[in-house]
Amino acid sequence: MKNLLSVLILLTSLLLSCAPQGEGINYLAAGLNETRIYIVNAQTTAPTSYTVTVYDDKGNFKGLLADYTRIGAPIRGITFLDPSHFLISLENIDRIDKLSVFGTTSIFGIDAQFNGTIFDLERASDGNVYVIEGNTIEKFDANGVRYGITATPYINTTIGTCVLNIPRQLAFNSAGQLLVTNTGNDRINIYNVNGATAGTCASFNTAGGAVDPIGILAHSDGNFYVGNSLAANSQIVRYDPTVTGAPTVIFNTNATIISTPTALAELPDGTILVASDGTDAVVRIDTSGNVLNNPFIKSTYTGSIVDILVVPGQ
Amino acid sequence: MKLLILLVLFFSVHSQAQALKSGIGISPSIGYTYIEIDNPDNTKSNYDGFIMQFDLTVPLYRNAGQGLNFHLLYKNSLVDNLSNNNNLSDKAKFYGAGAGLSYYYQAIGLGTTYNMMSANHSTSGVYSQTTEYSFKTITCYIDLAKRQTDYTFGGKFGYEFGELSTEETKYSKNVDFKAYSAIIYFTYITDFALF
Repeated sequence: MKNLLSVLILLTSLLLSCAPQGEGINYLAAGLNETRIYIVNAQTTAPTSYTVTVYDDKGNFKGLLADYTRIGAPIRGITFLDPSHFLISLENIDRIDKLSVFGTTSIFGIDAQFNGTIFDLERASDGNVYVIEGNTIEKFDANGVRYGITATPYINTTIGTCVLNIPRQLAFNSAGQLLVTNTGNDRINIYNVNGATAGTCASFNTAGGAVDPIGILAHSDGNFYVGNSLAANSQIVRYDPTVTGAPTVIFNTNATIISTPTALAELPDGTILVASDGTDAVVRIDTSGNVLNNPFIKSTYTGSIVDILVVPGQ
Repeated sequence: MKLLILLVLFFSVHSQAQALKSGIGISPSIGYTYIEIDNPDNTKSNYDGFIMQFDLTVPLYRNAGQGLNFHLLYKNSLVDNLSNNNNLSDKAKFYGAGAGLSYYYQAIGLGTTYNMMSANHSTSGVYSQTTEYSFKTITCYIDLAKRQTDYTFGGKFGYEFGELSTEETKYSKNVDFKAYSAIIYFTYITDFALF
Protein backbone atom coordinates (compact mmCIF):
# COMPACT_ATOMS: atom_id res chain seq x y z
CA MET A 1 0.00 0.00 0.00
CA LYS A 2 2.83 2.36 0.84
CA ASN A 3 4.48 1.80 -2.52
CA LEU A 4 1.21 2.23 -4.35
CA LEU A 5 0.62 5.55 -2.69
CA SER A 6 4.11 6.61 -3.66
CA VAL A 7 3.42 5.78 -7.30
CA LEU A 8 0.13 7.68 -7.25
CA ILE A 9 1.71 10.70 -5.65
CA LEU A 10 4.56 10.63 -8.13
CA LEU A 11 2.31 10.39 -11.15
CA THR A 12 0.01 13.10 -9.86
CA SER A 13 3.01 15.35 -9.24
CA LEU A 14 4.16 14.75 -12.80
CA LEU A 15 0.72 15.68 -14.13
CA LEU A 16 0.57 18.84 -12.05
CA SER A 17 4.08 19.93 -12.98
CA CYS A 18 3.45 19.37 -16.69
CA ALA A 19 0.16 21.30 -16.77
CA PRO A 20 0.67 24.55 -18.71
CA GLN A 21 -0.59 27.81 -17.29
CA GLY A 22 -3.58 29.81 -18.44
CA GLU A 23 -3.23 31.23 -21.90
CA GLY A 24 -6.43 32.77 -23.13
CA ILE A 25 -9.98 33.62 -22.34
CA ASN A 26 -12.74 31.21 -23.19
CA TYR A 27 -14.77 32.35 -26.17
CA LEU A 28 -17.91 30.61 -24.98
CA ALA A 29 -17.66 31.97 -21.49
CA ALA A 30 -17.06 35.49 -22.74
CA GLY A 31 -19.86 35.28 -25.28
CA LEU A 32 -17.43 35.76 -28.15
CA ASN A 33 -19.22 33.06 -30.08
CA GLU A 34 -22.20 35.41 -30.36
CA THR A 35 -22.59 38.65 -32.26
CA ARG A 36 -21.98 41.70 -30.12
CA ILE A 37 -22.85 45.34 -30.76
CA TYR A 38 -20.59 47.95 -29.18
CA ILE A 39 -21.99 51.46 -28.92
CA VAL A 40 -19.90 54.51 -28.17
CA ASN A 41 -21.57 57.57 -26.79
CA ALA A 42 -19.96 60.91 -26.11
CA GLN A 43 -22.57 63.17 -24.59
CA THR A 44 -20.70 66.38 -23.86
CA THR A 45 -23.68 68.28 -22.43
CA ALA A 46 -24.74 67.64 -18.84
CA PRO A 47 -25.09 64.97 -17.72
CA THR A 48 -21.96 64.00 -19.60
CA SER A 49 -21.51 60.38 -20.56
CA TYR A 50 -18.53 58.83 -22.33
CA THR A 51 -19.08 55.12 -22.50
CA VAL A 52 -18.83 51.92 -24.48
CA THR A 53 -21.80 49.64 -23.92
CA VAL A 54 -22.45 46.14 -25.20
CA TYR A 55 -25.61 44.61 -26.68
CA ASP A 56 -26.43 41.28 -28.26
CA ASP A 57 -27.66 40.92 -31.83
CA LYS A 58 -31.26 41.39 -30.66
CA GLY A 59 -30.40 44.71 -29.07
CA ASN A 60 -30.50 43.47 -25.49
CA PHE A 61 -28.22 45.30 -23.11
CA LYS A 62 -25.31 43.12 -21.95
CA GLY A 63 -23.12 45.47 -19.98
CA LEU A 64 -21.16 48.66 -19.58
CA LEU A 65 -17.74 47.92 -20.98
CA ALA A 66 -15.90 51.20 -20.47
CA ASP A 67 -16.69 54.50 -18.81
CA TYR A 68 -14.38 57.46 -19.35
CA THR A 69 -16.87 59.98 -17.95
CA ARG A 70 -15.02 60.39 -14.66
CA ILE A 71 -11.74 61.30 -16.33
CA GLY A 72 -13.50 63.61 -18.77
CA ALA A 73 -12.41 61.91 -21.97
CA PRO A 74 -15.10 61.63 -24.66
CA ILE A 75 -14.70 58.42 -26.65
CA ARG A 76 -14.97 59.39 -30.31
CA GLY A 77 -14.52 56.13 -32.19
CA ILE A 78 -14.08 52.39 -31.89
CA THR A 79 -12.47 49.89 -34.24
CA PHE A 80 -11.81 46.15 -34.19
CA LEU A 81 -8.32 45.01 -33.19
CA ASP A 82 -8.74 41.28 -32.53
CA PRO A 83 -11.57 39.10 -31.20
CA SER A 84 -10.96 40.21 -27.65
CA HIS A 85 -9.68 43.77 -28.11
CA PHE A 86 -10.71 47.07 -29.66
CA LEU A 87 -9.09 50.43 -30.15
CA ILE A 88 -10.86 53.59 -29.06
CA SER A 89 -9.99 57.21 -29.80
CA LEU A 90 -10.14 59.63 -26.89
CA GLU A 91 -10.65 63.38 -26.97
CA ASN A 92 -9.20 65.70 -24.28
CA ILE A 93 -6.57 63.19 -23.20
CA ASP A 94 -5.69 62.79 -26.90
CA ARG A 95 -4.72 59.18 -27.20
CA ILE A 96 -5.76 55.79 -28.50
CA ASP A 97 -6.50 53.13 -25.92
CA LYS A 98 -6.67 49.39 -26.29
CA LEU A 99 -9.87 48.08 -24.73
CA SER A 100 -10.43 44.41 -23.96
CA VAL A 101 -13.80 42.69 -24.06
CA PHE A 102 -13.58 42.53 -20.26
CA GLY A 103 -13.17 46.27 -19.91
CA THR A 104 -9.46 46.45 -19.15
CA THR A 105 -7.62 49.23 -20.92
CA SER A 106 -4.08 50.14 -21.83
CA ILE A 107 -2.55 52.93 -23.90
CA PHE A 108 -2.04 51.97 -27.55
CA GLY A 109 -0.99 55.24 -29.17
CA ILE A 110 0.07 58.60 -27.78
CA ASP A 111 2.26 61.33 -29.22
CA ALA A 112 3.11 64.93 -28.40
CA GLN A 113 1.96 65.92 -31.90
CA PHE A 114 -1.35 64.12 -31.46
CA ASN A 115 -3.02 66.92 -29.56
CA GLY A 116 -5.94 68.30 -31.57
CA THR A 117 -9.63 67.55 -31.52
CA ILE A 118 -9.94 63.77 -31.87
CA PHE A 119 -12.75 62.01 -33.71
CA ASP A 120 -13.25 58.64 -35.41
CA LEU A 121 -10.57 56.01 -35.98
CA GLU A 122 -10.38 53.01 -38.29
CA ARG A 123 -7.92 50.17 -38.50
CA ALA A 124 -6.81 49.10 -41.97
CA SER A 125 -6.27 45.47 -42.96
CA ASP A 126 -2.49 46.01 -42.80
CA GLY A 127 -2.76 46.93 -39.11
CA ASN A 128 -2.25 50.67 -39.50
CA VAL A 129 -4.69 52.90 -37.63
CA TYR A 130 -6.06 56.19 -38.97
CA VAL A 131 -7.53 58.83 -36.67
CA ILE A 132 -9.22 62.15 -37.30
CA GLU A 133 -7.47 65.02 -35.53
CA GLY A 134 -8.95 68.45 -36.18
CA ASN A 135 -8.94 68.95 -39.95
CA THR A 136 -6.25 66.33 -40.50
CA ILE A 137 -5.80 62.57 -40.40
CA GLU A 138 -3.08 60.98 -38.28
CA LYS A 139 -1.68 57.50 -38.84
CA PHE A 140 -0.37 55.04 -36.23
CA ASP A 141 1.32 51.78 -37.09
CA ALA A 142 0.32 48.40 -35.68
CA ASN A 143 2.50 49.06 -32.64
CA GLY A 144 0.86 52.38 -31.88
CA VAL A 145 3.70 54.55 -33.21
CA ARG A 146 2.60 57.77 -34.94
CA TYR A 147 3.62 58.37 -38.54
CA GLY A 148 6.35 60.99 -38.87
CA ILE A 149 8.33 62.88 -36.27
CA THR A 150 7.17 66.42 -37.04
CA ALA A 151 3.85 68.12 -36.49
CA THR A 152 2.88 67.37 -40.09
CA PRO A 153 0.07 64.82 -40.06
CA TYR A 154 -0.20 61.85 -42.39
CA ILE A 155 -3.00 63.60 -44.29
CA ASN A 156 -3.00 67.35 -44.00
CA THR A 157 -6.01 69.62 -44.38
CA THR A 158 -5.46 70.16 -48.06
CA ILE A 159 -3.90 67.42 -50.18
CA GLY A 160 -4.35 67.98 -53.91
CA THR A 161 -8.03 68.64 -54.51
CA CYS A 162 -9.14 66.97 -51.25
CA VAL A 163 -9.93 69.35 -48.43
CA LEU A 164 -10.76 68.23 -44.91
CA ASN A 165 -13.35 70.45 -43.26
CA ILE A 166 -14.81 69.16 -40.02
CA PRO A 167 -14.14 65.49 -40.86
CA ARG A 168 -16.15 63.09 -38.77
CA GLN A 169 -15.96 59.47 -39.80
CA LEU A 170 -13.73 57.04 -41.70
CA ALA A 171 -14.17 53.90 -43.77
CA PHE A 172 -12.15 51.79 -46.20
CA ASN A 173 -13.15 50.62 -49.65
CA SER A 174 -12.18 47.26 -51.15
CA ALA A 175 -9.06 48.84 -52.71
CA GLY A 176 -7.82 49.91 -49.28
CA GLN A 177 -8.50 53.60 -49.91
CA LEU A 178 -9.59 55.73 -47.00
CA LEU A 179 -12.97 57.49 -47.19
CA VAL A 180 -13.65 60.50 -44.99
CA THR A 181 -16.95 62.29 -44.43
CA ASN A 182 -16.79 66.04 -43.93
CA THR A 183 -19.67 68.05 -42.50
CA GLY A 184 -17.96 71.41 -43.10
CA ASN A 185 -17.79 71.12 -46.89
CA ASP A 186 -20.27 68.25 -47.43
CA ARG A 187 -17.60 66.13 -49.11
CA ILE A 188 -16.64 62.53 -49.06
CA ASN A 189 -12.90 62.47 -49.67
CA ILE A 190 -11.05 59.39 -50.90
CA TYR A 191 -7.34 59.01 -50.16
CA ASN A 192 -4.66 56.56 -51.21
CA VAL A 193 -3.02 55.39 -48.01
CA ASN A 194 -1.11 52.34 -49.18
CA GLY A 195 2.29 53.95 -49.63
CA ALA A 196 5.00 54.54 -47.07
CA THR A 197 4.77 58.29 -47.58
CA ALA A 198 1.90 60.63 -46.74
CA GLY A 199 -1.55 59.89 -48.08
CA THR A 200 -2.58 61.31 -51.42
CA CYS A 201 -5.93 62.51 -52.74
CA ALA A 202 -7.69 60.10 -55.07
CA SER A 203 -10.99 61.90 -55.49
CA PHE A 204 -13.87 63.52 -53.66
CA ASN A 205 -17.62 63.60 -54.03
CA THR A 206 -19.92 66.52 -53.36
CA ALA A 207 -22.89 65.18 -55.30
CA GLY A 208 -24.88 64.56 -52.13
CA GLY A 209 -25.47 68.30 -51.71
CA ALA A 210 -25.36 70.36 -48.53
CA VAL A 211 -26.31 67.54 -46.20
CA ASP A 212 -23.61 67.31 -43.49
CA PRO A 213 -22.56 63.68 -43.98
CA ILE A 214 -21.28 62.02 -40.80
CA GLY A 215 -21.78 58.27 -40.53
CA ILE A 216 -20.35 56.11 -43.30
CA LEU A 217 -20.65 52.35 -43.67
CA ALA A 218 -18.74 50.08 -46.06
CA HIS A 219 -21.46 47.50 -46.54
CA SER A 220 -20.84 43.87 -47.50
CA ASP A 221 -22.94 44.47 -50.64
CA GLY A 222 -20.08 46.68 -51.88
CA ASN A 223 -21.98 49.94 -51.55
CA PHE A 224 -21.42 52.75 -49.09
CA TYR A 225 -24.23 53.97 -46.88
CA VAL A 226 -23.99 57.45 -45.46
CA GLY A 227 -26.00 59.29 -42.87
CA ASN A 228 -26.74 62.88 -43.81
CA SER A 229 -27.11 64.63 -40.51
CA LEU A 230 -28.68 67.93 -41.49
CA ALA A 231 -31.35 68.27 -38.81
CA ALA A 232 -34.02 69.49 -41.21
CA ASN A 233 -33.22 66.84 -43.79
CA SER A 234 -31.89 63.70 -42.15
CA GLN A 235 -31.37 61.00 -44.74
CA ILE A 236 -29.68 57.68 -45.28
CA VAL A 237 -28.19 57.47 -48.75
CA ARG A 238 -26.38 54.84 -50.77
CA TYR A 239 -23.31 55.43 -52.91
CA ASP A 240 -22.04 52.91 -55.43
CA PRO A 241 -18.74 51.11 -54.65
CA THR A 242 -16.70 53.83 -56.39
CA VAL A 243 -18.53 56.65 -54.56
CA THR A 244 -19.00 58.52 -57.80
CA GLY A 245 -22.06 60.46 -58.84
CA ALA A 246 -25.14 61.30 -56.85
CA PRO A 247 -26.27 58.90 -54.14
CA THR A 248 -29.61 57.12 -53.93
CA VAL A 249 -31.74 58.23 -51.02
CA ILE A 250 -33.01 55.09 -49.26
CA PHE A 251 -34.48 56.77 -46.18
CA ASN A 252 -35.87 60.25 -46.54
CA THR A 253 -36.67 62.74 -43.87
CA ASN A 254 -38.80 61.47 -41.00
CA ALA A 255 -37.43 62.97 -37.82
CA THR A 256 -39.69 60.91 -35.59
CA ILE A 257 -37.74 57.82 -36.67
CA ILE A 258 -34.27 58.96 -37.71
CA SER A 259 -33.12 62.41 -36.75
CA THR A 260 -29.50 63.46 -37.28
CA PRO A 261 -27.94 60.07 -38.00
CA THR A 262 -24.43 60.03 -36.59
CA ALA A 263 -23.23 56.44 -37.05
CA LEU A 264 -24.03 53.36 -39.09
CA ALA A 265 -23.09 49.70 -38.73
CA GLU A 266 -23.98 46.44 -40.47
CA LEU A 267 -25.40 43.40 -38.69
CA PRO A 268 -24.42 39.92 -39.94
CA ASP A 269 -27.76 39.64 -41.78
CA GLY A 270 -26.94 42.71 -43.84
CA THR A 271 -29.39 45.03 -42.12
CA ILE A 272 -28.15 48.42 -41.01
CA LEU A 273 -28.08 50.00 -37.58
CA VAL A 274 -28.45 53.77 -37.58
CA ALA A 275 -27.70 55.96 -34.56
CA SER A 276 -30.42 58.59 -34.43
CA ASP A 277 -29.04 61.43 -32.36
CA GLY A 278 -32.30 63.37 -32.32
CA THR A 279 -34.22 60.48 -30.77
CA ASP A 280 -31.31 59.07 -28.72
CA ALA A 281 -31.90 55.62 -30.18
CA VAL A 282 -30.57 53.07 -32.62
CA VAL A 283 -32.90 52.19 -35.50
CA ARG A 284 -32.58 49.07 -37.67
CA ILE A 285 -33.32 49.41 -41.37
CA ASP A 286 -32.74 47.25 -44.44
CA THR A 287 -30.66 48.27 -47.46
CA SER A 288 -33.79 49.65 -49.13
CA GLY A 289 -34.42 51.97 -46.22
CA ASN A 290 -37.37 50.09 -44.77
CA VAL A 291 -37.53 50.51 -41.00
CA LEU A 292 -37.34 47.12 -39.29
CA ASN A 293 -37.04 48.09 -35.62
CA ASN A 294 -37.65 51.51 -34.11
CA PRO A 295 -36.05 51.65 -31.71
CA PHE A 296 -33.75 48.69 -31.99
CA ILE A 297 -31.79 49.94 -28.99
CA LYS A 298 -32.67 52.75 -26.63
CA SER A 299 -31.02 53.01 -23.26
CA THR A 300 -29.37 55.39 -20.86
CA TYR A 301 -26.28 55.10 -23.03
CA THR A 302 -27.73 55.86 -26.45
CA GLY A 303 -27.63 59.66 -26.25
CA SER A 304 -25.08 61.31 -28.55
CA ILE A 305 -23.83 58.11 -30.15
CA VAL A 306 -20.66 58.71 -32.15
CA ASP A 307 -19.80 55.20 -33.33
CA ILE A 308 -21.18 51.66 -33.52
CA LEU A 309 -19.13 48.50 -33.98
CA VAL A 310 -20.68 45.13 -34.76
CA VAL A 311 -18.47 42.12 -34.03
CA PRO A 312 -19.89 38.89 -35.47
CA GLY A 313 -19.53 35.69 -33.45
CA GLN A 314 -16.14 34.06 -33.86
CA MET B 1 15.55 9.27 -13.15
CA LYS B 2 11.83 9.83 -12.57
CA LEU B 3 11.04 7.05 -14.97
CA LEU B 4 13.41 4.70 -13.13
CA ILE B 5 11.79 5.47 -9.79
CA LEU B 6 8.41 4.96 -11.39
CA LEU B 7 9.32 1.56 -12.75
CA VAL B 8 10.86 0.39 -9.46
CA LEU B 9 7.77 1.44 -7.54
CA PHE B 10 5.47 -0.04 -10.13
CA PHE B 11 7.03 -3.48 -10.01
CA SER B 12 6.92 -3.34 -6.21
CA VAL B 13 3.18 -2.86 -6.45
CA HIS B 14 2.90 -5.42 -9.21
CA SER B 15 3.70 -8.35 -6.92
CA GLN B 16 0.97 -7.51 -4.42
CA ALA B 17 -2.16 -8.20 -6.44
CA GLN B 18 -4.62 -10.80 -5.28
CA ALA B 19 -7.57 -12.60 -6.86
CA LEU B 20 -10.77 -10.51 -6.81
CA LYS B 21 -14.32 -11.56 -6.18
CA SER B 22 -16.58 -11.62 -9.21
CA GLY B 23 -19.24 -9.28 -7.82
CA ILE B 24 -20.24 -5.87 -9.12
CA GLY B 25 -17.99 -3.11 -7.82
CA ILE B 26 -19.04 0.28 -6.55
CA SER B 27 -16.36 2.85 -6.93
CA PRO B 28 -16.32 6.49 -5.81
CA SER B 29 -13.27 8.54 -6.73
CA ILE B 30 -11.91 12.03 -6.52
CA GLY B 31 -8.98 13.82 -8.07
CA TYR B 32 -7.46 16.66 -10.00
CA THR B 33 -8.23 17.58 -13.58
CA TYR B 34 -6.72 19.96 -16.08
CA ILE B 35 -8.82 20.93 -19.10
CA GLU B 36 -7.82 22.61 -22.34
CA ILE B 37 -10.31 24.00 -24.88
CA ASP B 38 -9.24 25.49 -28.18
CA ASN B 39 -10.59 28.85 -29.27
CA PRO B 40 -11.34 29.49 -32.94
CA ASP B 41 -8.34 31.82 -33.23
CA ASN B 42 -6.01 29.02 -32.05
CA THR B 43 -5.54 30.37 -28.55
CA LYS B 44 -6.46 28.01 -25.75
CA SER B 45 -8.60 28.31 -22.66
CA ASN B 46 -7.26 26.38 -19.70
CA TYR B 47 -9.00 25.23 -16.55
CA ASP B 48 -8.14 23.20 -13.51
CA GLY B 49 -9.99 21.92 -10.49
CA PHE B 50 -11.55 18.87 -8.90
CA ILE B 51 -13.07 15.88 -10.57
CA MET B 52 -15.46 13.48 -8.86
CA GLN B 53 -16.43 10.20 -10.45
CA PHE B 54 -18.65 7.28 -9.58
CA ASP B 55 -18.16 3.94 -11.33
CA LEU B 56 -20.22 0.81 -11.41
CA THR B 57 -17.91 -2.04 -12.38
CA VAL B 58 -19.25 -5.26 -13.85
CA PRO B 59 -16.70 -8.08 -14.11
CA LEU B 60 -16.83 -9.81 -17.46
CA TYR B 61 -13.84 -12.09 -16.97
CA ARG B 62 -11.61 -13.12 -14.06
CA ASN B 63 -8.63 -15.46 -14.16
CA ALA B 64 -5.37 -15.70 -12.20
CA GLY B 65 -4.76 -12.04 -11.39
CA GLN B 66 -6.20 -10.63 -14.54
CA GLY B 67 -9.66 -9.53 -15.55
CA LEU B 68 -11.89 -7.57 -17.88
CA ASN B 69 -14.50 -5.16 -16.54
CA PHE B 70 -17.39 -3.24 -18.01
CA HIS B 71 -17.88 0.24 -16.54
CA LEU B 72 -20.75 2.62 -16.20
CA LEU B 73 -19.75 5.95 -14.82
CA TYR B 74 -20.88 9.44 -13.94
CA LYS B 75 -18.37 12.22 -13.49
CA ASN B 76 -18.43 15.86 -12.59
CA SER B 77 -15.55 18.31 -12.85
CA LEU B 78 -15.67 21.69 -11.13
CA VAL B 79 -12.99 23.92 -12.57
CA ASP B 80 -11.85 27.52 -12.79
CA ASN B 81 -10.56 29.31 -15.87
CA LEU B 82 -6.84 29.94 -15.31
CA SER B 83 -7.19 33.33 -17.00
CA ASN B 84 -9.71 34.61 -14.46
CA ASN B 85 -9.06 38.17 -13.38
CA ASN B 86 -10.84 41.09 -11.75
CA ASN B 87 -12.99 41.58 -14.85
CA LEU B 88 -13.92 38.00 -15.56
CA SER B 89 -14.66 34.97 -13.47
CA ASP B 90 -15.43 31.88 -15.50
CA LYS B 91 -16.31 28.85 -13.40
CA ALA B 92 -17.21 25.78 -15.37
CA LYS B 93 -18.77 22.41 -14.72
CA PHE B 94 -18.18 19.48 -17.06
CA TYR B 95 -20.42 16.56 -16.28
CA GLY B 96 -21.81 13.47 -17.91
CA ALA B 97 -22.14 9.73 -18.06
CA GLY B 98 -20.05 7.17 -19.85
CA ALA B 99 -19.50 3.50 -20.48
CA GLY B 100 -16.43 1.50 -21.30
CA LEU B 101 -14.11 -1.40 -20.74
CA SER B 102 -10.98 -1.96 -18.69
CA TYR B 103 -8.47 -4.73 -18.52
CA TYR B 104 -6.08 -5.34 -15.65
CA TYR B 105 -3.20 -7.65 -15.05
CA GLN B 106 -2.05 -7.77 -11.46
CA ALA B 107 -1.64 -4.15 -10.32
CA ILE B 108 -1.78 -2.41 -13.64
CA GLY B 109 -4.82 -1.80 -15.75
CA LEU B 110 -5.80 -0.03 -18.94
CA GLY B 111 -9.21 1.27 -19.82
CA THR B 112 -11.26 3.37 -22.15
CA THR B 113 -14.69 4.94 -21.90
CA TYR B 114 -17.07 6.78 -24.21
CA ASN B 115 -18.69 9.75 -22.53
CA MET B 116 -21.72 11.93 -23.20
CA MET B 117 -20.72 15.24 -21.63
CA SER B 118 -22.32 18.57 -20.89
CA ALA B 119 -20.68 21.83 -19.95
CA ASN B 120 -21.94 24.78 -18.00
CA HIS B 121 -19.99 28.03 -17.74
CA SER B 122 -21.02 30.63 -15.18
CA THR B 123 -19.41 33.89 -16.07
CA SER B 124 -19.44 37.01 -13.95
CA GLY B 125 -17.87 40.34 -14.68
CA VAL B 126 -18.53 42.59 -17.64
CA TYR B 127 -20.49 39.77 -19.23
CA SER B 128 -22.55 37.91 -16.66
CA GLN B 129 -24.11 34.91 -18.28
CA THR B 130 -24.52 31.17 -18.23
CA THR B 131 -23.45 29.14 -21.24
CA GLU B 132 -24.27 25.49 -21.82
CA TYR B 133 -23.33 22.99 -24.50
CA SER B 134 -22.96 19.25 -25.02
CA PHE B 135 -20.27 17.12 -26.56
CA LYS B 136 -18.88 13.59 -26.67
CA THR B 137 -15.49 12.39 -25.51
CA ILE B 138 -13.32 9.32 -25.27
CA THR B 139 -11.20 8.69 -22.20
CA CYS B 140 -8.12 6.48 -22.12
CA TYR B 141 -6.52 5.76 -18.78
CA ILE B 142 -3.94 3.76 -16.97
CA ASP B 143 -4.88 2.27 -13.62
CA LEU B 144 -2.49 1.34 -10.83
CA ALA B 145 -4.16 -0.45 -7.93
CA LYS B 146 -3.83 -2.68 -4.94
CA ARG B 147 -6.39 -5.37 -5.62
CA GLN B 148 -7.72 -7.35 -2.68
CA THR B 149 -10.49 -9.91 -2.61
CA ASP B 150 -13.15 -7.48 -1.43
CA TYR B 151 -11.85 -4.14 -2.57
CA THR B 152 -9.51 -2.29 -4.81
CA PHE B 153 -7.67 0.88 -3.96
CA GLY B 154 -5.77 2.72 -6.64
CA GLY B 155 -5.30 5.60 -8.95
CA LYS B 156 -6.18 6.37 -12.53
CA PHE B 157 -4.40 8.72 -14.89
CA GLY B 158 -6.58 9.63 -17.78
CA TYR B 159 -6.50 11.53 -21.04
CA GLU B 160 -9.87 12.57 -22.41
CA PHE B 161 -10.43 14.10 -25.81
CA GLY B 162 -13.33 15.22 -27.93
CA GLU B 163 -14.59 17.94 -30.19
CA LEU B 164 -16.96 20.84 -29.62
CA SER B 165 -19.10 21.16 -32.70
CA THR B 166 -20.08 24.37 -34.41
CA GLU B 167 -23.75 23.47 -33.86
CA GLU B 168 -23.18 23.66 -30.11
CA THR B 169 -20.71 26.51 -29.88
CA LYS B 170 -21.71 28.66 -32.89
CA TYR B 171 -17.98 28.99 -33.54
CA SER B 172 -16.75 29.28 -37.10
CA LYS B 173 -15.18 25.81 -36.83
CA ASN B 174 -15.10 22.74 -34.61
CA VAL B 175 -12.61 22.99 -31.77
CA ASP B 176 -10.78 20.42 -29.63
CA PHE B 177 -11.46 19.55 -26.02
CA LYS B 178 -8.77 17.82 -23.95
CA ALA B 179 -8.67 16.88 -20.29
CA TYR B 180 -6.01 15.28 -18.16
CA SER B 181 -6.90 13.80 -14.81
CA ALA B 182 -5.36 12.04 -11.85
CA ILE B 183 -7.84 10.43 -9.48
CA ILE B 184 -7.71 8.04 -6.57
CA TYR B 185 -10.50 5.54 -6.16
CA PHE B 186 -11.77 2.90 -3.84
CA THR B 187 -13.83 0.02 -5.20
CA TYR B 188 -15.97 -2.07 -2.91
CA ILE B 189 -16.72 -5.40 -4.54
CA THR B 190 -20.15 -6.71 -3.67
CA ASP B 191 -21.30 -10.30 -3.61
CA PHE B 192 -23.78 -9.63 -6.40
CA ALA B 193 -22.50 -11.02 -9.68
CA LEU B 194 -24.12 -10.89 -13.12
CA PHE B 195 -21.92 -13.58 -14.64
